[in-house]
Formats: sequence, C-alpha cells, structure tokens
Amino acid sequence: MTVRKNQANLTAAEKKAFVDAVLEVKRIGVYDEFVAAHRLRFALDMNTGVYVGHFGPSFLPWHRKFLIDFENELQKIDASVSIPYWDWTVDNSVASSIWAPDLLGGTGRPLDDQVMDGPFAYSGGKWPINIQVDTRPFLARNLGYRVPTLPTRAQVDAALAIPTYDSAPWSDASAGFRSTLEGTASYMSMHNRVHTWIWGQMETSVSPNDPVFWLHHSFVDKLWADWHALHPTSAEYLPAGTTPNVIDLNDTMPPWTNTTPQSMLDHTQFYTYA
Amino acid sequence: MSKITRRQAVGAVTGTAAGLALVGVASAWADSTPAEGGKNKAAPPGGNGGPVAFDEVFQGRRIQGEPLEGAAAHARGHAGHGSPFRVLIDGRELHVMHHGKSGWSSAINHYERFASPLETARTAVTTLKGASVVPFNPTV
Ligand SMILES: [Cu+2]
Ligand SMILES: [Cu+2]
Repeated sequence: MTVRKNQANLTAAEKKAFVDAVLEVKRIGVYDEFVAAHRLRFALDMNTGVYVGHFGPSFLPWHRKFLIDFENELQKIDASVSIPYWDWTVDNSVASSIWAPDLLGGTGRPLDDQVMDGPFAYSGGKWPINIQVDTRPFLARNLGYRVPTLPTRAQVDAALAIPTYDSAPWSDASAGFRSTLEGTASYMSMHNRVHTWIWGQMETSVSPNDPVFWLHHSFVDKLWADWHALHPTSAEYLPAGTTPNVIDLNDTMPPWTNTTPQSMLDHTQFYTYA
Repeated sequence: MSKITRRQAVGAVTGTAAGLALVGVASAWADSTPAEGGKNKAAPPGGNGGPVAFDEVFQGRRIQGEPLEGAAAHARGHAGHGSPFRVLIDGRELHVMHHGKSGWSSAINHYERFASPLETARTAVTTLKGASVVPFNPTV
C-alpha cells in the first residue's frame, strides 16, 4: 500500500530513493511524456474553453489521476517510493530543507535563474529540459521573486471551511472550495501562488519539468481529501451532470479514456496520506 | 457535457487551414519595422473596446500585439476562451489566452492573470531573462 509522507519527515534514504527513481524515469524518457501531456492539456483547455486540467472543477481529479500515473512509473523503478507532499504553509522559506541539495536543490542564480545545486542542476547532466515553451535548457527557479510569501495556514483553513465543492460558472472566479484552493477565485493566491512563488518552469505550462510540481500537487490533493473529511455530507465533486463544456461527475477526463471524476473520489484505493 | 460540443471545440483548434493562415500572419508581421519610439498603435476602427495593438521594444526585446481578424480570429476565439489576439516576442509567437473577466495569461506565465496582452507580453519578457519563446502547436 502506497503511503505519501510529508517531505520534511523523510529519512535521508527515503529522499535518495525518491530522487533516484525520478532521475531514472527521466533517463528512460517517460518523465518527459508527463511534461508533454501537461503542456498539451493546458494548450487545449485554453483554446477550446473546456477547462479540463485547470480553471475548472476537474482540476482536482485530473491532477489526482496525473499523480497516480506518475507514482506508478516511480514504483516500476522502486516499489518503496511514493510522492511526498510539501506543506508550503509550514516549510515556507527559501531556507526550508526541501530546497537542500539532497532533495530538490535550491533557487536559481541571478543571471538566468538556473538551478545550480542538487540532483536536478543542469550541470549534473541528468536533467535537461526537453519539453519546452521557451529556449531555457536548464531547470530555472527564483524562489520568492514574484510574490514574497507562500499561502498561510489561515488561508488554507479558510478554504477548507467552504462547504461547497464548486459552483457555476464552473471556471475561474467560481465560488467554492475548488476555485479557492486552486487560486483562481483571486489571482496570485493558493495553488497558483505556489507556482508563481517558485518561478522558472513552475510558472509555465511545462511546470512538471520541476520535480517540486509533484510534491506541490501531492499537498493540494491531500487538502482535497482533508476537505472531504471535514464535510462528509457535501458532494465531493460537482457538477453532477448535463453541464455544457464542463467535466461532470461521470464525464471522461481526457487524455484518459476511462477516467471520470467519480472514479477518482476514493483516493484510499490508490494511496493514503501520513 | 455534450460530446458534440467538445468535439467541435477541439476541431476549431486542429483545423489545418487555420493553422497555416496563422503562420503566414506571423512571418509577414515580424518583418515589418517597429513603431518609432515604441509608440503603440491606436485601437482599430470599429473595435469593440478590446485590447489595442502594440509594437514596442521592452527591455531590449521587440514585443508586438495585434487583434486577430476574420478566419484566424474565428478559429481561435469562437470555440471558447482562446484569444483573438496574437502576441510576438522578437517575432516568435507567445501563446496568450483571454479568460473573461479574470484577464489574460500566456504559456510563460500560466498561473497569473494580466489586465492586457501588453502587460502579458512585458511580464513574459521579464520572466525569460533573455531566453526565447518556443511556439507550441498543440496539433503536432
Ligand atoms: Cu497542472
Ligand atoms: Cu499546479
């Protein structure tokens, strides 16, 4: 059974196992398929106005499935590995251990935002950026540059207190838990703010190029599970059906052919959070 | 949701003829001279109050923006939130999108919203620190 742990509590051996599995998935070319899938989803959503991956109710189940698929690839390399989560309300500074060289490496250099230390530094030769929206071949970050702070626990608690999952018009600026957690109810907040705080590729549609993507979304996914536990009588997903141009509870979420929000509701069949 | 609606929406993006037309717009346009002193053009006559065209040098990069018209605008804008506006940085397309009241974003700054395509282009330049945009065609 897969147990996802807080990255702050990982042992040195657990950190190394996670990093090694990520590097191997990258080496065999599978990692970049995930980056490409994310870029494609973003572009199609933006062009069609059918918000499947982001800015709509299926933001949470779409990324839940995306992480499950990635975790499966990691476990083909090392069955003991799971995706850790990063509680950015606690480990909320440039000095946090998540940015140490034994896990993700730190912020970029001033010249071009290039990450210079850790396993994903370009100079290490194991982390070329192949799936791009710009010509930077290296992992880039500028922690805290665009926005100085990460979301707070009080802001997370306020989101968790919202009893309704989502509401019309089922997009940005919808009222409800999903848009508040995603950070589309007011921009530069919550999930979106974390992407922007990290900068570099995390600010772009090829954000999975930065391995912190998985730890960030693992925490966002945990918050969805936490929200459901707090509101057991609320519909865990909305809308229920027949909503034009919106992924309803039993609609298929592309690119998958058999994955619906309904099929993602019970995460405990795939993993649990410690 | 209606599956027909979704298929029609995706079709608007993948139309080959529209894609070729857009490529033509890009190359012809990038060859023209920047507006003197970076002054921006006025809004097109008969415009609907939408964002105005611009052509300026910002932090050493030439940024251009212009509303798409006719078939190109239809292909981009009709189906949903795709942008009927085209932005170039040093002649390369920066994919921008309009999201109703919440504003504009681009492939480079996907998790933010901006008041105008000009602000979107300037922020992308600041973000890139000298790197170039790699246009992404979702149909490839
Ligand atoms: Cu995403
Ligand atoms: Cu995200």
